Parts: sequence; structure tokens; C-alpha cells
Amino acid sequence: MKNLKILPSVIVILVAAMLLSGCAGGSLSTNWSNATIAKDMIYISNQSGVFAVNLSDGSLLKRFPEKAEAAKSFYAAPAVAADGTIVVGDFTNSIYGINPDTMSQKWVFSEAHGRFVGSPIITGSTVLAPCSDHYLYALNLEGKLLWKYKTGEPLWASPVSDGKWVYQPGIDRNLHQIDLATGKKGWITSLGGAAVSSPLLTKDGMIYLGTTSGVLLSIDASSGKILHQYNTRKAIWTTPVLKDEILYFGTQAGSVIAVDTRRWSEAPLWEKDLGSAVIGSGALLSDGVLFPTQAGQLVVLGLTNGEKVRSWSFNPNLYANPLVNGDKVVVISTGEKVMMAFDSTGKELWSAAFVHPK
Amino acid sequence: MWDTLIVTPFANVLLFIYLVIGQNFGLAIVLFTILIRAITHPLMVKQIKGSQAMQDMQKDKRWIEAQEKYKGDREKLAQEQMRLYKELGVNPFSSCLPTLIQFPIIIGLYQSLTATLATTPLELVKLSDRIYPFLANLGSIFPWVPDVFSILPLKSSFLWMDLGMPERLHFAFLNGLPLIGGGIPVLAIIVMITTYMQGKLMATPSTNPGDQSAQMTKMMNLYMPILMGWISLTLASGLAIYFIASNLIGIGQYALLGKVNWRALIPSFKAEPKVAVKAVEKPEPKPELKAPVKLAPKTTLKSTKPVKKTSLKSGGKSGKTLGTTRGKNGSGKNDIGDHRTNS
Repeated sequence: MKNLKILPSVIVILVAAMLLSGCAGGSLSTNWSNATIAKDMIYISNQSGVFAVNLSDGSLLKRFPEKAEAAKSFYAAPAVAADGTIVVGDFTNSIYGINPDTMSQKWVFSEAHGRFVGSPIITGSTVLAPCSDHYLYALNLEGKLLWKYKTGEPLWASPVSDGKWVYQPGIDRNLHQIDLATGKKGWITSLGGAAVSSPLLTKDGMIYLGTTSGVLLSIDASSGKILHQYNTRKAIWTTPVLKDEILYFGTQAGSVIAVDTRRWSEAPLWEKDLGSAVIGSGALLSDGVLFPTQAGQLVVLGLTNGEKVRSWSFNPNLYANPLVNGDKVVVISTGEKVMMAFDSTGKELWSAAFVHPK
Repeated sequence: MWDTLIVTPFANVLLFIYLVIGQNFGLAIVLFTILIRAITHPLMVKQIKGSQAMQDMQKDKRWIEAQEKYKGDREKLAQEQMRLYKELGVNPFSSCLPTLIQFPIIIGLYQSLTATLATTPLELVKLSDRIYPFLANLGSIFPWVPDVFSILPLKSSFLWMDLGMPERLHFAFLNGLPLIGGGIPVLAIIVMITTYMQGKLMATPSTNPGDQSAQMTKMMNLYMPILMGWISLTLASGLAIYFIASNLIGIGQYALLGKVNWRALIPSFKAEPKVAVKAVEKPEPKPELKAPVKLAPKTTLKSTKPVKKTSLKSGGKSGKTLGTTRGKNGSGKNDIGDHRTNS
């Protein structure tokens, strides 16, 4: 009969466990890994830590933190300062400054209230870190807050800066121009859709960016005025690639489109269906433009006509932007081989797997 | 399977509501909660019936006698109670099982909330794959509705909170303070209060505080606010909005059914029914023979049989007569309803 007495407690605990374990799958939000190349190193944010990997052979040198900690999870690509300091935000509201030699913590900024989904950028001596708590944080290279700028919704996209102004796209469907020195608002331009990828800022003061509502926009950086737009009606996740006045970008519907920036009113130069969502941005190679697909295919398309130059496939999904360094292409996947390097012909040079947290 | 049957349909319904009402996700959650409450209403009615069956059984003569007889022997008493449960066809857990059935719905809802809010790029990509084709063509039916893909990711801001993140109300002057320096968890507090209120208001007063049902209710009333508060503290605030809306709507449903025990909220007002106690104090030798049933003529049957119909005369000053019936399906029905008499 004692069993009967403890039964309510057991039921409550079981239900609680069931509920919490059921929720855990959703609550522990994850994302795909992202990486950056600095000199002869690759720094990859891969869930439990930031890993320093030798670019030449893919060997793992060090990691931060040294051992996986439940409270730290990293997905946004790190940024590397001129002095080599690695700056990276995590999913538990902190930005870390990491010593590249020892991969140990130099400083931490913990005043944010949301995940760092987008990668930080470093402009001069200022770290600009977009956060899911709607703020863009500006820190100095010691991790001290200089200013913060509030937008209406979470920030996933990395900003760009010309050294005077910062251009921050947001899920609030706006592009914000912010004074780099003070954090004061310049102009705000309504985009008509959320922007989840970093814009392309050209030297002649043009901003190109796509929205999840499927519009590619050309914006004057000085005034914020939308000059041109091209509606694909398909969500755009990629940062456009510009080569010889032609923009190359992918859509979630699986197409890669080339638009001539001198002829916005005309039909695109070409459109190629890759058969699977294109989430990662393109990378220019000597003989074409490379795009990864969600289904795990790497495709090189000719610049002039969009014809397939070559392609190769993997089982895992490819979401992250591929990295190009000289004749090496580094691809990040969701599979066991987290990172793979290829030469320009598509031959695999090395692959790296990392220990995931249990 | 779980995704296809629960999470994806829930997510699409949420998206549908969000689109139609003008892109307010907080409001969409509240409306979705009303929908879920309406769907699970039969379960709630079943729960009420289960509670009433327990109440009715506790007024049974043999139950009362067993309480008196095995006063000092808790184990024997429990055995006797179990025997009576079986004999009278009462499931002691019938009042809480419907509540437990709702937990998978809550889990599904949480997963659909996080799926719909898509707080990371990966979740947003997956959400796009979940959207039913009809949502993409909704504009042809509702001209004011924009293309579903153009509104992704959803605007997660609602009042002061981000529905995809745990809620805290931040005040500059609290910065640096321990515990509350990170902000005050207003929603978690409200969830705890409303869960407690719901538990207290909906609990039917027991005739015997020592019985299993009363103990279970007591423990649930204690644990559930803590559990729900903890969940609200740590998970997306959209779920806390659901809990609050669900609790308030639940109280409203009970009130409409006339089952809310408002007096239970006042600590000094113990709503202990004295009818059964009095009956024990002055047991009628053959109550069924003295059965001038005033309220329900059909409730006079010999109580020695498995309770189909029972009548007990209250020993209270008011002299009210209780009448209970149990239908063929075993569900109880109390003719007085409130289970209390004033003495």
C-alpha cells in the first residue's frame, strides 16, 4: 500500500521528466557550424567549442574551451583581430576573446540576453556583434562595451562597415545604418522582408542584399535609398557574390541566379536549378562560382551561362558558406566529416571530424 | 511520425492564425490555446466526472465505515479502500488521467512553438519545409494575408518579451544584483500563480482528507505550480503565454460548468464537507429505509450493493439529504453538486 502513496509523486516526476525530455529536443536549439580562415588556420565553431585547425592538413591543434562545457555552445563563425585574438559569440549570451596561441580565454562579455547566431566582425579596433536579443553590440578589443544599438527583432546577419558607418540588416525587415563611433542611428530602410544574411558592400557605396521574402535589393549606402530590386519570390539566404558587375546568389527554392547590375529591369542573365535549397553563399573560383546545396552537393557553375562546370556530392547537408583560400576550398557539413578541403578540381585533400558533446 | 502527426499540423495551425490575425504571435498563441482547450474539453468533462465519482464514493456507507474501523491501521485501511474502488468500479486515477493525457499535447505544442518561432537559421530552414501548400495560397482566400514565405521568420516580439526566448523583465537598476540581476521572470511567476489558482479552484473538496485522491490532489497542487514555473523560467516564453492562457481559460471553463470552488482560494475558509463526518458520528442503522429523498427521487437503492444509487441523510443541522447516482457507465452525478452543507 505504500506504493499507492508514493504513486502520485512518481507520476508527477515521470510526467515532468517526460515533458522536459520531450522539450529538450526543441529547447536546445542548434545551428550549423561555421568557420573562418585566418592566415594558415581555420577556426571553426562546432557546437561544443571553437577548434583551431591547420589549413594545410586539417589537423586539430587546440580547442576552446579545453573541455566541452554544457553552458557553452558555438555556431557563429569567429572573427580574428589584427593581433590574432579570436572573437566569437556563443548560444548562451556571451562573447569571448580567445588567445590564438593557447586557445584560452582573454576576456568575456556577458551582458547580452540572447544567442549570438550571426558572426561578429572587427572593424579597426571595434568588435561588432549582432545578437538575438535585438541588439548590435560594439565592444573594444578588451571586451568592454562601447555602445549597443537596438533593433525591432533578433539579429542573425553579420553587419558590414565602411569604417565610418555600420550597416546592419535585421529580421525586423529593416537595414539600419549606424554610426560606428557613437552607435547613433543614421538611416533605416525598410526591406519588405527579413534579412538573415550579411549584405555585400562595394567600394563605390552600393549595398546588395537579399531577403527571405525573395527580393534582391540594391541600396545606396549614403542615403539608404533602394535603387533597384529584383523579385525572385523565393527566400534568399545567401550574400550575393559580385564579379564584373554581375551578382550571383542562390535561393531556398534551389536556384542560382545571375543578375546584371547594369540591367535590373531585364530578365536575369541566367537561372540554374540545383534541385535543392541553396543556403550557403557562393564562392568565386577561377572557372566559375561554387554553391553548396542543402542536399549535400557542391556545384561549380560557369559565370557566363550558368552551365554546370563540375559537381560532387556528399551525404550530409551543406548550409555554411564555403571558404576559399588560394586553390583550396573548405566545406563545412552536418555529417561526421565536419570539415573537408578540396583542391580546385574537386579532389578531397583532407577531412576533419570533431568530438561532439555527449 | 510524431512530427508529421503533431508538430507539423500544430505549426501550420499556428502559422495560419498568425497570418490571418495580422502577424501577432502572442495573440496567435492565445487563440491557439483556446482552440486546444475546445478540442480537449471532453477530456476535461471526463476529469470532472471522475472527480465526482470519487466524491460520491467517499459518501458511501462502507467507505465511511472502513474509515472508522481501520482508523489506526493505515495499511488495512488502504487495502479496504482498494477493495471498494474495485467493487464500486471507481478508478482513483480517473480524475487525473485526462490531465496527464494533455501532457503530450503540451509537448507537441512546445515543439511546434519552437519550430514556428524558428530561433535559429537551421530551425527556419526546417520550418520552410514544414509549411503546407495551402498556407502558401492563403492570399487567394484572405486578400489581406501576405505570402507565408515573405513573413518568415515570424516576428517573435510580444509586449516586452521575445517569445522564442525565456522571459525576463529587465530593469537597469537591477543589473549586477544576484539572482534578479538578469531580470525578473514575470511570466514564470504568473504561471505559478495561475497554476496554483487553477489547482485550488478546480479541486473538489474531499470528504476525507486522508484518502488517496485528496493526497494526490494536494501533491499535484503543490508540484504543478513549481514544475510549470520552472519550465516557464527556462524555456521559450511563448510556452509560458500558453500556460497562462490555458490556466485562465481552464478556470473559465470550470466556472461556466459551475464547478469552480471559489472559496478554496481563501485560506481561512476550509471547504470541508461535514456531511460524511456527521454521518459517521451518528450513523443511521438503515439509512436506505429512511429515504425521503427530496432532491432526486431515483436515488433510493440499497447501498449494500455495488453503488448504483445511494442515499444518505445528513446528520447536520440543516438536515439536507444527499443523493448520488451512478449511471451504467460508472460515472457519478451528485444531485447537490457543491458537496457542502452548512451546519
